[in-house]
This record gives sequence, structure tokens and C-alpha cells, in this order.
Amino acid sequence: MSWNILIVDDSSLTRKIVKRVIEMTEMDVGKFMDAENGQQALDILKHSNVDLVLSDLNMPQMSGVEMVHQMKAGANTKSIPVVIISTESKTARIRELLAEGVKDYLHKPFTPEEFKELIQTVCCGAQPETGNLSVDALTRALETMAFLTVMPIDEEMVVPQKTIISEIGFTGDREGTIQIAASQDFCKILAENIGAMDEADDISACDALKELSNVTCGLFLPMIVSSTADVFDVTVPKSENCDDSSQWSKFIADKNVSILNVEGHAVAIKLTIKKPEAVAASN
Amino acid sequence: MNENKTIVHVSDAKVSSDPESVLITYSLGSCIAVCLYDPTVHVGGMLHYQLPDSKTDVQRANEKPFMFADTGMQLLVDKLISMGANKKRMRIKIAGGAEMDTGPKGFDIGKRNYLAIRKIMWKNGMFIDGEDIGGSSPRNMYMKISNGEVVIKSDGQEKGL
Repeated sequence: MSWNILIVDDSSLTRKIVKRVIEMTEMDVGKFMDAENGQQALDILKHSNVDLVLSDLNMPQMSGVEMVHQMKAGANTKSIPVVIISTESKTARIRELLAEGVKDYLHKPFTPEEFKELIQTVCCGAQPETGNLSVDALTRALETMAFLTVMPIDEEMVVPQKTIISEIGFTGDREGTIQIAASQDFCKILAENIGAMDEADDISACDALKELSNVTCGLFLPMIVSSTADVFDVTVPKSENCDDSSQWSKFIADKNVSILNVEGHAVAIKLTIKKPEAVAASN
Repeated sequence: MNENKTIVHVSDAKVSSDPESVLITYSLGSCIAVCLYDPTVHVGGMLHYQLPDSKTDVQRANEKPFMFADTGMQLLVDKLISMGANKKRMRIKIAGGAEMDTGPKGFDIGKRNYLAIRKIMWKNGMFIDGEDIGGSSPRNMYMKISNGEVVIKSDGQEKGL
């Protein structure tokens, strides 16, 4: 998808800098548009197809705050992502704007690298990196709730025969699923650690993996959207059992899968995020 | 695998496309080392510059262009491009710019060296992908040409960039 981007700032130099950094990111840009204040931006939004608005706050005629209010009130403009680029940072005003649905903010002065990171987060162009984020979330979940550590992959780790796969879905700013696959034996260890129990049964093993996917999802979602996590709805996790080792091989064959070595047990996580255009089309 | 070590001295730069080669620079204080690497063609180079701006001493810059951030980077980037690297693909990692007790006080050469490379990158439209800058300890920097992996050793600690 190519992005039509509207840059709103009363300084032509700032508009130029923003444009330059976007060009450096090699983001697929359809068209750049610029406006000197909120009013001009709203006029452009009426007549043009804009996918992303990058806006300053303090501008003559109409400020960025007023522009955001009006955008959020308009049926055609309320879902266009807005990113604030301002000298203000964690002020009450910024918090209010984020609560109102502004996607993110960038504090001026910013380095080109900070801008790149922001653009990649906002535009969902960073799929491989969100893959790492899901692994980070799983690692944290394992450490925090099950006291298990993730180690470097080695050949001796145990690959599941009887596999359990759990799945949790999320909808909101992004839509997708997180699936985790692990051996039944590992899930029993998981249940024993989580529940402080001596010996886990098959049902607890399934429940433990479901709970792990639930917590992982909870840690993952705030990482992909910097505003608030509660813009997402999360489904009830479900799980399925399989006695046949082929299910594991099938699961890990997908390119979106990351495999972890959790204290000698292979655990796999699969993150699937719908492409932004697919989400936009279904909205 | 046999490693083929190439030392990059102060005010010098080296490039390589040999997968067994490791480019190394030692004793980075207020100087900065820049690693450039193109992961598609597996070509990389390392510069160890001492000073931010060649305009302060044009004659020395002519004799030793790698002493300065601007002239050194220009030469290194051009060389890598001539070896098949592409500027858009290059991964850039930098280290150094420490505040050393040995340097003249109040001169902030480490910081000026850092700001110089940031400016050069911005002008070239390139992002810095990793950095280990400042502090007061000397550093050694290593880059493997096989995969572009960069490691910094400082104070007995080792970390990847």
C-alpha cells in the first residue's frame, strides 16, 4: 500500500525535514501534501484521500488540537491516523490527545532514527520487528509467571511429540492472532510452575498454555501501539491437543513462526497480523 | 573458521569483501569508529577518525583524509559503492566519542566528533542503526565481514551493536 501523507506545520523547514526523513525510511509514499495550519489541513482532508496526518500543535489560525477535535468529529476523517510532532511531550494536552485517539506523538527535537521508529510503528511496516516483539512478550510472560528462562537455541532441545497449540485473537488498531505451540510435557511443567502444584494433569497443561498466550498477548499489544492497550478486544484463548508430531512440524513451517528454547524445550510462537489495507477494507 | 584480522589504525580506514575478514580498531577514546556494511553484497568498511571537521586543517586533510569525519566518510562511502555496496542498504554502527581525561579540557572533542557523524549521516540520508557513544572508557570495535556483526569491548565487557 502506498501512503498519502499530510504534513501540517507552520514552519516550511519542519515540513521539509519531516518529508526528508520519511523519504529516508523508504516508506511507500503515494503523495505528500502540506498545510500551514489546522484549517488548511481540514480543507485538504475534505477533498483528498489522506492515509496519515503528521501535525504540529502550535500553529496560527487553527492549532493541531482543534484540528484533531474536528477530525475526530467528522465521519470521513475520524479514522485517519494522526501523529503529533511537537515540542510538548508528556503534558496533559498530549495525554488528552492520545486518549482521543491520536496515534502517537514525537517530541521535537527528534533524531532521524526516532522518527524512523515511529513511522515503522504507525504504518505497520515493521512486520519482522513485531515478530521480535511477540518473542519479547512471550519471554517476559515465561519469566514472570512461570519462572522459566529462554536460552539460546541448541540441537539438544526437546521437540514436541504430543503438541498443544493455543490461540488468542485481538481486534482493534490491528487485528491478528498469537498462537503458541509446545509439548504436552512442557505445558505440564508450565502448569506446575504457574499453579505451584506438584503434578499437573492434561487439563491443567492446556489451561497453562492458554494462560501463557493470554498473558503474552497482554504484554504484546501495548508494544505495537504506544497509546493505550484497551483499544484492543481480545478473544478467549482456546487450545487444541494433538498426539501426532506432524502438527508441530506443520506449525513451525510457517514463516511467521519464532522458535524459542525454554530451558531445553522447544516452544514456538506464531504472530499473524492482518495487513493494514485488509483491516481498513473491513472497517 | 579462520579469521583474517585487519587492524584499522587511528586516522585510517579499511574495507573488505572477504567473508573471513574481521575489521578491528583498538583504543577508541574521543575518536569515533564507523562501521558500514551492506548485507546484500557482504561488503563492509571501518573508519577510525580523530577530528570532526577537515576545514580546520585543510592541508592535513589532504595528507590524511581519514583523520577527519567528513573527508574520511566521503572516501569510505565512495570506496564501498565502488565495491558494489548500495548506500540505501548500508547498515551503520558507530562507537567512541568518549570524554577522555587525557584530552584538552573543555574541548568536548568526543561530543563534537559524535555530532559531526550525525550531521554527515543526515546529509547523506542514512540512519544510524546502532551506537555506543560517550562515557569515559576506551573501546575496541570489531566487525565481521561475513555477516556485518559488530561487537564493542570496553571495561572488560563485551556487547553487540
